[in-house]
Amino acid sequence: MSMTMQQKVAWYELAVTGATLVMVGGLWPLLGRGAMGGFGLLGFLGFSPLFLTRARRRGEVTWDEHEQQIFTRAFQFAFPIFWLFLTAACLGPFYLKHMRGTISIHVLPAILLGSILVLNLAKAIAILVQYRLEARGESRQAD
Amino acid sequence: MNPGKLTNKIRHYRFMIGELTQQELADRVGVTRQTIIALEAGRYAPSLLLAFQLARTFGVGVEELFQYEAEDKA
Repeated sequence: MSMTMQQKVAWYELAVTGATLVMVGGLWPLLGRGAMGGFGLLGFLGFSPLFLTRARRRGEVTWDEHEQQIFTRAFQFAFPIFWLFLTAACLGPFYLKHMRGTISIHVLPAILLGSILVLNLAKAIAILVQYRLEARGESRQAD
Repeated sequence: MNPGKLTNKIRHYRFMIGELTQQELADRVGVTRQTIIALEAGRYAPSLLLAFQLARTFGVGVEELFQYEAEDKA
């Protein structure tokens, strides 16, 4: 079955965030702090609106109330995860340093980029899971 | 409080008026095919506006197209 625009965007965001995780995680043992350059892959998330543009050019219905419900539920799932990650990432260094000393400036972009990654990854997974759960009823209702 | 159960006859009327495909029905009311699939499977409750649009497409009343069963209090 053809995918909606939101599904395509979710798969794309899953691929980008997954590739970023693999890149950063895989390079960290080799490059250490230099592996943070892998977060640059998150820049590809900026191309997500192209799916909307192309779909509209084809005259497809790109958004309706059902899509809105799926998006809202996905965000309700993803935001708490993002918030927990952000809070833990911000407070973690303080506890690791036992509230003394200084925290490296490199921690700041890592927290920011990591939070963006977590938010988009969780949202994409939540969107795709919802479509998957609905598709279970599709086989019984196919044309 | 249990909200009750909402069912519909979208699939029935879709075949009644000339065997419309899900995509054709979706195009007529301005939604995605996935929305029609979710409606027919009973996994999505439409807004009032969409319910009226669907009923108007089939030429029937909203209550002929959608049925609501309240939860028994007994």
